[in-house]
Amino acid sequence: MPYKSDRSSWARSSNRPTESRRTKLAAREISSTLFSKTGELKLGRKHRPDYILVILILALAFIGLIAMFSIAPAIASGSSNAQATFMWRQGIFLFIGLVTFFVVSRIPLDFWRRWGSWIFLLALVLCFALPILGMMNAPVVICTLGACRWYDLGFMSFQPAEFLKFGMVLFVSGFLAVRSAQNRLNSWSTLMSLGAVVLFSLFVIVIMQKDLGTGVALAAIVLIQLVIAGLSWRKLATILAAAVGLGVLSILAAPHRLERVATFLGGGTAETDYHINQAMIALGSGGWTGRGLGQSIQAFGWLPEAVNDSIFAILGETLGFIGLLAILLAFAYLLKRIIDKVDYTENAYLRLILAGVFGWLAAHVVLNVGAMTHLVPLTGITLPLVSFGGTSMLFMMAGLGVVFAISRYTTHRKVANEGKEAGDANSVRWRR
Amino acid sequence: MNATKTSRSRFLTVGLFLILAVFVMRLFNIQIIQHNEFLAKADAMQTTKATINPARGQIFVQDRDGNLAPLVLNRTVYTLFADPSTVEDAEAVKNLAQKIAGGQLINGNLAKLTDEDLQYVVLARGVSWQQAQQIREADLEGVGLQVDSERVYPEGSLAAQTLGFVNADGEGQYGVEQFLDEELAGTPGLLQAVTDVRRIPLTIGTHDVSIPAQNGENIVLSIDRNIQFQVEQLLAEGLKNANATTGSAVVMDPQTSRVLAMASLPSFNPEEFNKVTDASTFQAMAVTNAYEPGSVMKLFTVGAGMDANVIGRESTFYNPGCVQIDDAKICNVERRVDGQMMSMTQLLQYSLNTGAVWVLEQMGGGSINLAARQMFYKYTTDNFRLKGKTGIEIVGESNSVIFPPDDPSGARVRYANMTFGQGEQLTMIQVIAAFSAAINGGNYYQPTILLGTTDSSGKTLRENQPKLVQENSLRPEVSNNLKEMLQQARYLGASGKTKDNGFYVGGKSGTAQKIDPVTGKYSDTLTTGTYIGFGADKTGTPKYAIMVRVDDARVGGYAGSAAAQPIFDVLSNFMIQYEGISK
Repeated sequence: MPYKSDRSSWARSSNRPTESRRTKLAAREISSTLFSKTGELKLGRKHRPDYILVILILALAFIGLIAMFSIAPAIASGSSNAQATFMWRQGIFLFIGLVTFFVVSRIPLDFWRRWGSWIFLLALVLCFALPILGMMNAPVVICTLGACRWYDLGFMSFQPAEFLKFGMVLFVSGFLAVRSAQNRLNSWSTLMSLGAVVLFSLFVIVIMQKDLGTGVALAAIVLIQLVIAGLSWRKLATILAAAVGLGVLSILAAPHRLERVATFLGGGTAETDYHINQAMIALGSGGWTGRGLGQSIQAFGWLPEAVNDSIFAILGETLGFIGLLAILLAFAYLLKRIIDKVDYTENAYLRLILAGVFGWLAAHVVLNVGAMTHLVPLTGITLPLVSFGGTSMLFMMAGLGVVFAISRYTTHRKVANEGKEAGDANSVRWRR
Repeated sequence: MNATKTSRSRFLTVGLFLILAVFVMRLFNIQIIQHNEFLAKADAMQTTKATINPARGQIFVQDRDGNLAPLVLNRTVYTLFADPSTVEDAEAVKNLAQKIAGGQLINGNLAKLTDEDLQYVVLARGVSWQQAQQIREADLEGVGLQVDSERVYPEGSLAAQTLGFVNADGEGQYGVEQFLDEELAGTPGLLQAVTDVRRIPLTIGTHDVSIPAQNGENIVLSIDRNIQFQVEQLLAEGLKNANATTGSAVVMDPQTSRVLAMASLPSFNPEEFNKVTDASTFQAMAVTNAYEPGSVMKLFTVGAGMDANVIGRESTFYNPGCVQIDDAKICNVERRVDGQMMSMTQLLQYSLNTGAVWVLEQMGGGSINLAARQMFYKYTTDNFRLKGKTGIEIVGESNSVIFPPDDPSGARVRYANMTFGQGEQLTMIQVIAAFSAAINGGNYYQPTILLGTTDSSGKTLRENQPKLVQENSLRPEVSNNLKEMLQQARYLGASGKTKDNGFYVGGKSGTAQKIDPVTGKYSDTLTTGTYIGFGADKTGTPKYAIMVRVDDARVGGYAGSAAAQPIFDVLSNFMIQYEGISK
């Protein structure tokens, strides 16, 4: 089906006479691999969405809720908060998240294509404004230890960095889809402009907000989108090398960072050492089946961030190895189902959204679990769907909602076989 | 390039699964293989063992009617400490400590506040609840209060050496506090529980331990509060009259050997024990100090002679004034009766050394041979139990020094001296316990200061019944005779000074020369005066025994009769009145 429309749009564009406007025209015409004649996103036949996604999401969120419930007394005892506050709030967050999920999944996919860049821009502005407002001591900004990462909305705090991940997925998907269709994916101008946007975002997040975890997640999202977009392995290697080079350069330029790296290799700061040590004790004392629900001792103030970043370790203490294996399998299956849709989705833009959400979710799982098991430096990142946190829940649900919407338009046959031809055909055609 | 599109999602899946596989292996290693190590780590970190301190037993005395009066109680106090490593404003802490607990500061510790290497510095002890409240309200960083217990003495220094005190570490020192430390201390409880990070016990642990503390036993002493009070007053007055500073007195129930009062001067205030510079002040001298009691021992010599039937109550002897034993010449102090025939009562009345030596000679059929010495030794050690400790419940009891009869060096002279209380060293508690047996019909009870113990609620745990350890120290009729002879000897007196007031009171004085610490020989000026006596009701049943000792009296005449006897007299009069004894 797409061939036909491709051909027809090509036919129309070939009628354009001026050489000078060729590139611009080409861009519009090429977009026709993505968009229909009326300018809307090209979608396949609509069918039943992938409800298994919903089941997996609900299962993971439910585990988070159970964990919250089981350690509520412990958290309450450690603070002045009323008993079980966290569980109720997490329940409300989950409800809002689920509503978001279904609302988002009903929004026409074209909406994201049209507004994706604006959403990204809004998120970036919100992130950028945060530290500046923080410097001005604006009451709406919450800062801890010199890092301003939250807006105070009264009933909840809002972390725009989570919004930025969602915006980044949309923006990069749109950008790369067009460039790819124009067959300019591997051009340096594409990488340079993308690089500039990503580097600026990283500057805002890592330097201004001092949030390394989100920075790494953003980089992972873009990188995985580039992989799926079809960037040459050589370019990917170059980008990786450049990233590493940039990192080394920045370390060499500032000796105090060198010290920090040295402390990490030597075991990290006293604070992170303590955190990791407590996480390992929580995991290790869990054994095969764990201490049981409500029996976590580490949650009683021993393990920092028990409801947030450390929930995985608490789950390990409570449910044991078997429980964690089940959780990891659930994540693995959820991630597999997302990335598998790439091969059954015709539209490159949607494929890139799938890749972005996959990268987003995977980066969080890997960074969080890796930190808890002392395989990756501790960056302070949530375990998606499970950890306590409103913003993180909201936008992860939004991202998954888009995935759910895309799941309505997957093909029966693997796109790959046709896509290979189609791609070849496209590239050949546009080079002509 | 596009040919790789398909495999790229597969590539990502495989990559992700590889990473997750590494996580699973890592988790297996942490959770399963190293489970026990981490569990041990968790237990060590999460479990707190707390000792629950038991309340130390209190110490009571009673009066004649059996009303209990506390001598030692407990009070909750606080120890003010600081953690200099977390103190933020050392100057403020210093000012607060000085302002609120200025009197209880530990010397020099305020200066340590600025030493950030330290984590625990005691600033003040014995801080009251009110003071503690003020400190809490100040709410300074790095300052803490620890609950402690402190001894309180409602009667001040009453019976101080008998009680002893409790040091800063909570250990009993001296007296009953140390002797009965185990009973008083109780058994600490143990609380082992999983806690939160602030060390507050949780209820979710699976191997929690909670053993309540067993409070210490309350002690009821046989001391009578009123007698003790009088003894301390009268002893102090008596010492003052005799220009002496050191002395002791013991009042005993001769029927049970229960100590009714025991005092030593100089004394101390147990609440301020740390201000005492001379540790001997802490000692209950009547128990911890063995000395030469002197002529009071003649009554035992006479009693032993009568009991062994080598002399009788009606025996008489020729008093030559002096006797030569080997290289030693033993003379009497009272020389007005030289060259006269003397009765046994006169022996006691004039305190004739020659008479005491004569009794010893009778035990050997006329000479101080081995048989005489062995018999004398047997009475001293077996009948009167003057060798070895009595076992009274006061720490630091001294052993007596009594040389055996077959000691090759100068045994004859030594045994001659022992008949009038020199050449041997005894404690007052040994002597008064033996005296009680000698006058009560011959029953030796183990001297005791403990009436019984109760638990913290006041329920009786143990009654300390009088413990008869030796019957027939003297035969009953000999005991009775001796009692009468002591009464007569007392009322006649060596100087004829004692007036018969019609009460059945008997006694014997003694003055012993002390070994001069400089020359190592018997001094002519340093003496110890002792008086021992009893009071009986009109049927002749002894009701009390009193022994008084005065050291280094500076008074005309002999210390036994001039310094110790007056104290006995006033004490005895008080006892007659207090016990309601009639003529």
